[in-house]
Amino acid sequence: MMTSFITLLRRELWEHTSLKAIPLTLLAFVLLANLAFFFFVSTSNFTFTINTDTETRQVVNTLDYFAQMEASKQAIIINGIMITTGMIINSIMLIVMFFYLLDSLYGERKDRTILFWKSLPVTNRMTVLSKLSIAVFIIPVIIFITTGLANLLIMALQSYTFYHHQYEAGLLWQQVDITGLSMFSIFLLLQQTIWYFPVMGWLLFCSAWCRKSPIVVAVLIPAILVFIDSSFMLGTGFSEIIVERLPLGIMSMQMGNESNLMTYPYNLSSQQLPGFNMVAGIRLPSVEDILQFLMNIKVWMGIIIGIFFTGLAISLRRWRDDSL
Amino acid sequence: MNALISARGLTKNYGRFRAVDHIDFDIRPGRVVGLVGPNGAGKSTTLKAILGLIKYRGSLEVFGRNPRVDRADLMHDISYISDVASLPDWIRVDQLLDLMESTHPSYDLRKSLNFLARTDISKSHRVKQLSKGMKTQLHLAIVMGIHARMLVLDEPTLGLDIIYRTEFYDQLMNEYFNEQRAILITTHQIEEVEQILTDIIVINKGKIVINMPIEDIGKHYAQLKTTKDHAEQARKLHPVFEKDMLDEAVMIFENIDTERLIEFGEVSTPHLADLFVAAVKGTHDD
Repeated sequence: MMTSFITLLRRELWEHTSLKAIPLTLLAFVLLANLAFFFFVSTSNFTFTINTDTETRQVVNTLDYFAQMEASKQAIIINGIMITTGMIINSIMLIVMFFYLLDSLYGERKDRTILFWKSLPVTNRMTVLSKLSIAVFIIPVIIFITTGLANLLIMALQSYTFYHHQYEAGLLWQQVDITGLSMFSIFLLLQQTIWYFPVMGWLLFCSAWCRKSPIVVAVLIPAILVFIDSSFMLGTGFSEIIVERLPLGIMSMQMGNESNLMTYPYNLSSQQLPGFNMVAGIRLPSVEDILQFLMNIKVWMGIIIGIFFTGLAISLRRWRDDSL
Repeated sequence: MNALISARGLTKNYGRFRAVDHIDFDIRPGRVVGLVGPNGAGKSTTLKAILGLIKYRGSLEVFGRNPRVDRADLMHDISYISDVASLPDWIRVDQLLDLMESTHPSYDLRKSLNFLARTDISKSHRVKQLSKGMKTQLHLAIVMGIHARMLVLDEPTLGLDIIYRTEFYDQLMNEYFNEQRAILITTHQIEEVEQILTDIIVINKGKIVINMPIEDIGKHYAQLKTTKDHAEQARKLHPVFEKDMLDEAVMIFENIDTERLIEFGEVSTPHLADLFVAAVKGTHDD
């Protein structure tokens, strides 16, 4: 049974090549951007002003500017670059996940391969759960690995840039907090996966349910409900629930609640939650943070809704054939 | 021997349209059953019910199980080939074989590979690179490895040229079929399969109009080829089907003493294709 499940996961990766191609493209983009920095930016002369407690001085080179900075500021810049890289990769992979889930059960009916898939001795539950597992486990792992590789690439190439221009090659490595960044990334990915779980369930359900254009239904139904709720001021709270689960909700989480850019979805008690702040740097999750997250009723409501929609998707697939 | 498939009062409605209407049939081991009918007769719906793909009313047992509940388990014993379009285009042959080996507990990869070795299909081919004939061969290679006791074929040779069609059925009978296994074939081109069938079920407008072993056709039906002069007298014996051929008329009679026909012309057992037309046309004329 486990072998079948793992094979079904592999089958998803075989079919959905974007799950491999997009991370590789992102890595290629990171490589090109860093090569561009190496060839153009690092040797260009810009004027920077450095203010310290004792003096104000001008520098005309990007690398000089960085090398003369205070160590704490260097750390903020390096960790900031890494987290920004991670956020960009994460955001793009969330879009990939959105389209993957919408296509996962609809696509097999559209191309009539459902008749072949149903000829295998594999239950509908196992099939749907394998697709959900791609979103819940595999894509976060892909995000983590791609972010790690992208940041390693950045560090290696920029270290070489420093070395090439007669600066200390280990300058960047002294400031980077690899353990902190990894822990921060794992925690955010876990939070994000749990937070988006009801959305994943909803997308799977739409994919199993819609006879055409699941994307329209997946977006339109919540949009109509939000419109009705807010236009008629029904005060059901539905609009807030939906908005919280949109990408901007998670963006605010990634920025940390101190940024005050948006309402932090989990921050019901106005306590600080782990995140990255341009002033405070990385703050790793404590046991209290994790407990606070897990004790939030919205988290559990989301999980229950996600399980409900996933159950519906399994049930719908049972009676779906190639007739869309 | 116990039936592998047993249907009683099998009925399926799509909204107000009744696709299958209270049909009864059994399929036993060692039989090659043709489920034939015109387009839209209810053939594919019947197959989908057998494979547990749709809801239905009535009683249906497949290997003693309810296909509505036990579809995944049933697929250990049933192998299914729909027309060639159902194989995923993006999959490579080696991935497909890997998938079969991982999901079917008793899959024999060697048998599939031996079969593929006699074709032009390589393991690195993607399904979309294969011709229709090659896709059918690939399907057959998979079937050879599965050890299924029942093979269900839904218009398996649709769109294939005669060479591939003949080869497909030859390989099926020589390399897959035996007395412990059964094959159920749906087609609307009966002439393709009439040489291999042991039983025929003709379905039209959701109802079974003929259901019998091929060897019993001669006991129930007789074909008379007569001249136009004798045709009028023969018609008084109520043929179920008649067609004109130049100066002759061909009539099919049901449950008739053939001695009564001999005086009008040449009497024989009807071809399946003519019987099929007779059964379908008869019900069309109702």
